[in-house]
Amino acid sequence: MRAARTGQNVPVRLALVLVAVALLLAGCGESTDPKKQAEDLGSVAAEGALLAHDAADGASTGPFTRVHSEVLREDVHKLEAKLKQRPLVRLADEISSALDELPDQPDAAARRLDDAADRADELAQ
Amino acid sequence: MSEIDLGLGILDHQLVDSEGHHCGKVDDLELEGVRDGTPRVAAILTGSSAWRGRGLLGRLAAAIARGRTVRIPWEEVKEVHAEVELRRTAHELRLAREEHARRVVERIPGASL
Amino acid sequence: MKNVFAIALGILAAIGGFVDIGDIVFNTAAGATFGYELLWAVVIGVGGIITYAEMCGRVAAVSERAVFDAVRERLGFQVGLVALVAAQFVNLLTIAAEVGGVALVLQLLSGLPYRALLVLALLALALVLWLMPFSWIERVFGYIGLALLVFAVAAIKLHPDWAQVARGFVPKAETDNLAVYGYYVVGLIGAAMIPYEVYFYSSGAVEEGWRPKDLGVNRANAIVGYTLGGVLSFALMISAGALLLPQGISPEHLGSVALVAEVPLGQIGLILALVGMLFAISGAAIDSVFAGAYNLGQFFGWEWGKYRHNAGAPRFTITWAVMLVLGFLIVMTGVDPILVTELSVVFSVVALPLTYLPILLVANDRAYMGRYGNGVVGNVFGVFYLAVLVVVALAAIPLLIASNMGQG
Repeated sequence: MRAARTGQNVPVRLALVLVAVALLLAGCGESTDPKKQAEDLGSVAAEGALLAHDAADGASTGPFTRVHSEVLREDVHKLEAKLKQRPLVRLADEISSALDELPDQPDAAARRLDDAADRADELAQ
Repeated sequence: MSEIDLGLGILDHQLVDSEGHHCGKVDDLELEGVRDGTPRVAAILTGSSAWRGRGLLGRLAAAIARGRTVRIPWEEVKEVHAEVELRRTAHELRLAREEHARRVVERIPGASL
Repeated sequence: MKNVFAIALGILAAIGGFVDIGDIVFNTAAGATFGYELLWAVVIGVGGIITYAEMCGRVAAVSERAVFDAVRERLGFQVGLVALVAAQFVNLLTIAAEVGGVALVLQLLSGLPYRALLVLALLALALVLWLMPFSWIERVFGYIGLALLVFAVAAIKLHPDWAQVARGFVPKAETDNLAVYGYYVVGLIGAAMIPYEVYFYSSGAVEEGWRPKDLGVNRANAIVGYTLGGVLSFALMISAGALLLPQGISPEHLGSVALVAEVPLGQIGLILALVGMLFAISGAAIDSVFAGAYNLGQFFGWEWGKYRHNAGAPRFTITWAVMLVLGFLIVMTGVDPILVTELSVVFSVVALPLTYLPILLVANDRAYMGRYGNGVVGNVFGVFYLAVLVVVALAAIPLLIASNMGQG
């Protein structure tokens, strides 16, 4: 008797878990709160700046610099889709463009990304 | 421990043939003498269709697996410790020795590595 | 003397083999979000894996049963089958995450396209699994995985406030984002106790024919190996806390983790980090593929073993091959391996009590264990961790949702 009841409970629980996951994944992603969006942009800019400074100093490798700056650019694109405020959109464009030139012009990219990170901090206040 | 306790105690344990090969689990037991008060294990049942006696999920699993049941009379049991040791080889007892799987794997070079 | 040497080598391989993509992701993210405040959660996780692994090793040595032998015997066919399905689902997610992780690291090293590297990863792992003797696999992947110690060097070089680090070992929950904090606690404990490690350890013990005389080795392996592995986790969290948190960087990629070694240590730091990650994650992929095959083989009574030649345990062989390919197909869909990693850790936490409880029960059963059953100390830890696992299992999914996967 007990075995049969246990057998019926667990498939239901499993189904609930799967539904929760489906819902979660459907709604998962970036928020639409401008303060949070500014923080997210700031995070990408700061990370890009770290990479750019290292690349400028010769502390990175070619493939890593290229791949990681491209990955960060994709992050910016994903964030851009949800941006509404103009200052944020401009900032996102700037970060994306700086990341684009990072592998070839790490020095310039580093300066631009440092500035972008500072601006993101201001916008996040 | 009475023989019936021993018998019930081996449910879901590993079956090992006389050559030491794994050949499935004790999937169910065939009992006799229950009604006349002297229950004993008549046989071990192994194979996916033996799961039909193991509750709702057991029936579901048996339906999906669609295998056969092999009946091993209790006399074929040599010894019971962590595993249930049988007196004869799996081949003699008509137990699966993973033939289909072996034929597939053996075809690939490096299978004996 | 030779025995001590053998134990030391085993422990080294265990340290390199302890860290997988789940630990890398969660420890780095936790450091970047909460600094050093969650070091205590890693301690709880490491204590948990030591307790669980030691019990499994003891059960294997004395009763000659591996995890899923015990699960089926103790929980019966139906409940055991549920545990098996849950465990295999989790194993599959883990395999997918690790295979994806291998491809990501290969991409960071080579610059080649991700999907092509996924295929390469699949083929390379399959070849290693098919051709390489297991003792070699363990040594190669375990030892080179030790390159991850570069993060310990990075942590020191970044000059964290060590007083603050020390305070991180004391749990406190005064934070305004409790859901995110709770999510990371769950993730850190889950990543440390990722189940494939235990299935793998337990099956290895049975395969190697451990007996009561090996109980000392079991205990040494578990305690020393996993503690030192925990040090690697600390290193990841501390260096992320020292570098990423002050800059407001939220690490979303494996490249972000590598940066944590690159910034303080330059190019050599980057390369060691990438190579270490490659071998640690590959080793984890191999172990989790075997774990999936062990579980099925043990539950259904097939021949199984990593030391067997491939045709000697044919269903076992086919199972690991199928699980590897399925894991590959999951990440081939383009889903982010980091996302799969987080889900695999969270779901493994939910399923963990189902495979932990039977081992705790068997470890206490005199009929199985004779005089080697759990003593008072064993049961204090054993029951404590059962409680921890149940709480964490119940909280995992709600926290996943409430914290928006740690994003807040």
